[in-house]
Amino acid sequence: MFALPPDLRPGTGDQVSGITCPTCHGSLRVRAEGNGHLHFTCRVGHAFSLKEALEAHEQFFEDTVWAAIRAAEELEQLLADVIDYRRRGAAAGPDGTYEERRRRAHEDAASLRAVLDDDQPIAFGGDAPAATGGHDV
Amino acid sequence: MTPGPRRDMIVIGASAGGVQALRRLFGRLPADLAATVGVVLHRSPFAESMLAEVLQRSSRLPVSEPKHAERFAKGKIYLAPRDHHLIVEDGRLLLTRGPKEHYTRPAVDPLFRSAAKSWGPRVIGVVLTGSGDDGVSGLIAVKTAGGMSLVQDPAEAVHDSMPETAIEQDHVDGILTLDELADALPRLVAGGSLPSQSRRVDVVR
Repeated sequence: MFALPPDLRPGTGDQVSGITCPTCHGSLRVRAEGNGHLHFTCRVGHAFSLKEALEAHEQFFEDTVWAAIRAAEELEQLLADVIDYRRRGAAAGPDGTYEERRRRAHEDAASLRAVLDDDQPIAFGGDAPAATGGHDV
Repeated sequence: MTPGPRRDMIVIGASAGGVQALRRLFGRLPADLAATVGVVLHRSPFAESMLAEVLQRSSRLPVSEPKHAERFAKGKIYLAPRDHHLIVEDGRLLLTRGPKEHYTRPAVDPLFRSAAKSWGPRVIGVVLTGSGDDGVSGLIAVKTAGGMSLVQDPAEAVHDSMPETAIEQDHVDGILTLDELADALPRLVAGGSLPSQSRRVDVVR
């Protein structure tokens, strides 16, 4: 498994990469142009530079951790509300393990938030990335 | 002077800072320029704008957003409309809602790539001010097909990363200010060569 083909260099033409299109999630091909500029294209024709691919993967990583945080926090909330619901006598049944799971889900969410707090995504010099604007009109 | 190859298809790409740059350039191009000029300026796909009218006010050459499959002519400037790539074919301009490149449509690369494919050595590709990496691959395609690759001097560009990246990633033929471009383009179209003082690839920045 690789992200960039091991023999990638100008002149080798398009090769399959190990990463996917940030827009449509299809496989990306990559070729090296000019002095080594990497140009990624997917089946339908979305195209990216290496910088854009890196930015997209940074963004996807953060988005995915937020999705995990949401899952942990929803789980915690659901368990808390179920415990409360049962305490009100609205439903019968044991809930002994629920409190322990609720506590662990709370800790998991906090740990995941700490991952993002402490993380330092790659930064590029120069202007803002095209993905976030740059329109003149 | 022995005339060089005929170069009568000029393609220009710009992003942030591009309106000012294009107005400056168009304001200095002669009314009898014997070349077709295709332009992509990054713009919102969603916002209506008076961009063609704004550019026209600074230009002696007529500026328009072409219709799909419109036949193009020399001495005219064709601007990619919002939300469409501008594609050059044999004698016609196509407007497509093809895949976004570098998250943008219109994008510079499809214009440059299509011009290189149909018009090869007759193409002059020009990358102006802008941020991001659009235009780099297209300019390499122009050069690979025998065309000429020019960039705005990054020192002059409001946003320098587009011309800067183009310079880093390929051996561009010339690095010129907007005023120098306005002088050089008609001469190149007429078969002349670049002024010798124009900064070349080996500029170390």
